[in-house]
Amino acid sequence: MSRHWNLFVRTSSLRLSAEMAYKLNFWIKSLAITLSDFIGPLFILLIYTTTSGIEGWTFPEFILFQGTLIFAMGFSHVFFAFIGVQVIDMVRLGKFDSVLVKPYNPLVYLTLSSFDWDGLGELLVGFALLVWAFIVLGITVFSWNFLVYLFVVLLALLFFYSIIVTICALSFLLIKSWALFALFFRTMDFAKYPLDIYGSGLRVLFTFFLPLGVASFYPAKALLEGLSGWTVLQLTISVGIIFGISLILWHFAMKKYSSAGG
Amino acid sequence: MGGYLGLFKASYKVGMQYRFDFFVGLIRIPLTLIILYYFWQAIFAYNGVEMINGYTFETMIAYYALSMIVSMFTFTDIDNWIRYGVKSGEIVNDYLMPLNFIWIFLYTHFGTVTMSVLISLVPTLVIAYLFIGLIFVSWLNFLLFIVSLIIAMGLLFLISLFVGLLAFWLTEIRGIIKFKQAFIIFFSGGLIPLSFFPEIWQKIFAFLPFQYLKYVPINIYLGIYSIPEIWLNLGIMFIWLVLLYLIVLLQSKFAFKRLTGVGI
Repeated sequence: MSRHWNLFVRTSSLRLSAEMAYKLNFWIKSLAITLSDFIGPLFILLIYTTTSGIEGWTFPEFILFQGTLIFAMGFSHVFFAFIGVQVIDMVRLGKFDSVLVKPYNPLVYLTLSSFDWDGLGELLVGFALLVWAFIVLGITVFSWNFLVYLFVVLLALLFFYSIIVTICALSFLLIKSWALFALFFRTMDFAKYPLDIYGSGLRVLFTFFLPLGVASFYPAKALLEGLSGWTVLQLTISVGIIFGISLILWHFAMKKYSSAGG
Repeated sequence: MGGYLGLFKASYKVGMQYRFDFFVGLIRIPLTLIILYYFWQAIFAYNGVEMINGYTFETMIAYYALSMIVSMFTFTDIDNWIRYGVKSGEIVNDYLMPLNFIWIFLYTHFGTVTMSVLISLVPTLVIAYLFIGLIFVSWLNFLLFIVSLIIAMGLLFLISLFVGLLAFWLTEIRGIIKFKQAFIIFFSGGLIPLSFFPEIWQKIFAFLPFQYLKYVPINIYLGIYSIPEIWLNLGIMFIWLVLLYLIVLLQSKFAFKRLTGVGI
């Protein structure tokens, strides 16, 4: 365990010193990322100041909803996103062997060495929005609903992780998959608005088959109205299946991988 | 035989890469429009009004479809190229060419624009048509929209060139590029029509070049401005174009003074 911890600390501090090579750039970049995360909430603010918004959601409830999404995305940005960047670059340049010769399981190694300082601003924005929404809506953290909320957010993190692993596995088979990342982020835009605005087909899709709802809609519902045990179980199964598929694909990709001269 | 087959496979894979990008491009833009369609539908339904801040549901969706078409034409990556050129030293090659370097960048820029338009124009038009039937006000509006679109291309190109040239002083400008992107989404009306912002903000926007990148050209197309208003806006756009060109020209003189490289 401690060697894993050491790996995490070492690679994270290495990455920080790489960022600090251009200090001014790092701060401007972090500020820019933080600002662009306010774009979504600002959009909602402009809509709620000039109209009455959409049915069933007040402004603070909407911010709770979006804050959860930004927090979950920010967390995956900090801890997982760089796995994708590393793998795609390594596969393209033929450097992936360097991971295989490390005395760690490749996926574990990649996961622990992918801390990305860029995403901290995003995480903070999400957290700040959540704190604001919790205070305004008077939500207490000492409740059953809050535990359910935490559990669904954890599911969301597992969901993001699975998607990134899947995209990495596919990058072995398709060589380049930036396009897949772009497609995934575009699809995630569906999670920026409550699932009840979509038609029933899309709602079923984002609840059962590609459960984007776990990142915003269902956690917000858990806090505001409570979720039935049945819904929680169903979401767990959906995310579990996606996680399983991602691991299978990863193993398949590892078997298929042949380096230069291999 | 095996060798030929390998070559065939390799070239096929290269082709596949682009086909895949093309395919993803085909889905990406419609996805965004579908989301915005549902969202605004929910807003209009709940508020029970015909018009919000000067836009009906149809013109609102047309606004976003046009916003994507405008971005397709104005899209530029020139700041990233300069960033790369300065970091790797390859910018020297551009400098050594016996041509005005702003025009060198402009022509390479046309290449990427053509590519991005080829990839996404047709699917966007099809989706826009399916969703709303493209609103067409008049030929005059259409022609003036094209004029404004061309000036908007020039404006964003010059703004990106300005940001790119900062690399001569700062070396790493990835952060500033990100900043520029966030700033432009915010102030150009790509997020939401600028009429949703409070009065005072709109007054500030009038003194910045950003609303001319999207908001103004789209409103010209949608017929939201009267004809004299359109001419006034086009005039201001043209003044901005000249002003930014002069700024970038001056900046580039100073930038290349800082350049040291092999062969100069």
